[in-house]
Amino acid sequence: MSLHQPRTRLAGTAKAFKREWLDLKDQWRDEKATEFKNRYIEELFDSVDHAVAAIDGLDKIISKIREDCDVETTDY
Amino acid sequence: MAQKAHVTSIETLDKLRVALLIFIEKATLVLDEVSEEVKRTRIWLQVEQGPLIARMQKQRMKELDMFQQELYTARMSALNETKTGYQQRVNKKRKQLRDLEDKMRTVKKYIRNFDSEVEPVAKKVEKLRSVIDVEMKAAVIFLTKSVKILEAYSEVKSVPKAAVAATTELTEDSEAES
Repeated sequence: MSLHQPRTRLAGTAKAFKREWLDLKDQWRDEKATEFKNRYIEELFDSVDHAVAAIDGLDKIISKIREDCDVETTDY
Repeated sequence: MAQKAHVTSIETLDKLRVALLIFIEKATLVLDEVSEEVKRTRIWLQVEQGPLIARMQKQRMKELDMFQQELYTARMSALNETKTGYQQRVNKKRKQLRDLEDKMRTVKKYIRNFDSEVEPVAKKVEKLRSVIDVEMKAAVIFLTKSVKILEAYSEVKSVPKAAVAATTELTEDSEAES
C-alpha cells in the first residue's frame, strides 16, 4: 500500500480546518482569539506540514524496500 | 467579563470547535494507517520475504543439482548437441541462485537497519499524534469553554432586557387600569 493517499487525506483535512479558521478569524477578534492562534493554530499547522513531509519521506523509503525485496516467483 | 469579547457569532465559534473535532478524528485515522503500514512492512520483511526467499533458494538448489546430474549424464553419453542445452539450464539456475542470494542479503540489510532508517522518519510523523492528543484536545476544551462563557454572557445581557420589558408591561397595565 502506498502512503500517498493517507498523506493527501491529512493535507486535505488540515486544509479544510484552515478554511474554517480563516473564515472565523475575521469574526473573532479579541485576546482569546490571539491566545488561541498562538497556542494552538500555529503549532497545529506547523506540525501538519512536518508530518506531511515525513509521510512523503516514509513513502519513498517503504516503496524502495518493497521494490528491492520483492521476488517475482513466476520468473523462477 | 474582564475584557470585551469580539466575536460576532457563538455559532461560528462552535463551528470551529466541530471542525477541529473532525480534523482530530480524520488525522488520527491517517496516523493509524501510516503506523500500520510501517508495522506491516517490518512483518513483510521478517515473516514473509526472508522465509520465502529461503524456500526458493532450497527449491532452486534442488533443481540445480538435478540439472547438473543431467548435464553429467549427457557428457558421459557424448550427446554433443544436447550438452549445450543442459549447460544453459545449469547456468540459468546458477544465476537465479546468485540473484536470490543478493535478494536475501538485501532483505537482511533492511531488517537490520529498519530501526535506524524507517523508525526515525515514522517518529517524525508520530509527533503530530502527540500534538493532537495533548494540544488539540486542549484546544477543543478552550473553544468549548469560550462558547459557554459567551452563551452565559449573552444570557446575562438578555435577562435585564426581559426584565425591563416585563416591568414596562406591568407599568403600562397598571396605568391603564387607573
